[in-house]
Amino acid sequence: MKATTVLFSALLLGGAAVTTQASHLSAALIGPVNLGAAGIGDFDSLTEAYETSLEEWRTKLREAKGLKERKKVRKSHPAILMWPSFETLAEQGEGRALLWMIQHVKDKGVKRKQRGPVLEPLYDRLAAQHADAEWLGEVFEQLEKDARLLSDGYQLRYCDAVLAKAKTDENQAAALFHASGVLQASDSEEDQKRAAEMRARIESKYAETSWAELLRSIKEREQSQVGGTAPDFEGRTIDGFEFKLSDYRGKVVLLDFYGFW
Amino acid sequence: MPHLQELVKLHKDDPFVLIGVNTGDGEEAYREGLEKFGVTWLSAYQGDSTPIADKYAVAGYPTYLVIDAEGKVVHRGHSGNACDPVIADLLEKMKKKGAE
Repeated sequence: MKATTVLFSALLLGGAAVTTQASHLSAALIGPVNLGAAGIGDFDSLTEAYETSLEEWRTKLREAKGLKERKKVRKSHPAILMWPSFETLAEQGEGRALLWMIQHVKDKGVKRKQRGPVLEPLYDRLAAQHADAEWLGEVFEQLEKDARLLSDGYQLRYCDAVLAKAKTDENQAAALFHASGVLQASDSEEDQKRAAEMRARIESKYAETSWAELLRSIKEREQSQVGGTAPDFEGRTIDGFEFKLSDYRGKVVLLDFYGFW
Repeated sequence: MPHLQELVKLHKDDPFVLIGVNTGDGEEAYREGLEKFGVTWLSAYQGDSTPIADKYAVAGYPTYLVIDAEGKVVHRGHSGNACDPVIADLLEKMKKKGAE
């Protein structure tokens, strides 16, 4: 299970580059007071403005003297000030704004115990309106991080909702992959069985998706541990001699991964 | 590396093969290394990419795997010396089996 989680995250990190090449909004302009809907701009410029404000806020916090002043600065976190702008974008149909809100619930100052009830409706909206988003993988990555804040069974309900709504194989497989990960972590044998069935379904019905590919590579990695069947590979010497590990079946092989560095 | 040379010498008449998979050396450094350390055995060169190491989830170097004649991974670790008895044992068993 651990390997699955790690790989899952690694893959997502690779694909989760957030573009921030937007026009520069002056940080002074940011805040609910100065921002009419027209002033928000698109998601990229808003997140860029947020990052700028965050830097300034951090400086302010560092320079604040005394507990009282620090407390005051904390209350002016840009996530608090800019939340309404992201909400506006979300209402206009920008799904990434919903994800942003999910990722900044803590910065907004929502107490730990309250985060679940704030997060779940946001996730619900994502599932209902943005199940076909290209960045769905990022949502699952975040869902994994939020697991302990959400109510029992919420992750699986979210996966079900995405599976029902998503039209692309890629995203349907993503929902199944995540659900199988949740079930696999359970102690119940029944859940383990369901997880295995889901993975089998990904490999058969969704064989062309990146999730099937990921499952294949996880299997190979497992097979390369003691007790597994060493995955075959093609090697090439620097002088161009090509060989396969399987060419040496029938012999004892010492495989040495090394570098001269 | 001297250990590996001894190992190859020790088993030169046995059904044994040492396969190196190099990762992370530039071509020049790699060629120099081959010569300097007297690498005469089969060694795959991956250059900057690491497809084989990825497949095997190699997280630290060196990593050694002992694979038996059926292709099963029998031992995996970072110490070359620790592989010696495992290899000797496997070869011994094969010999016995062959004699039967």
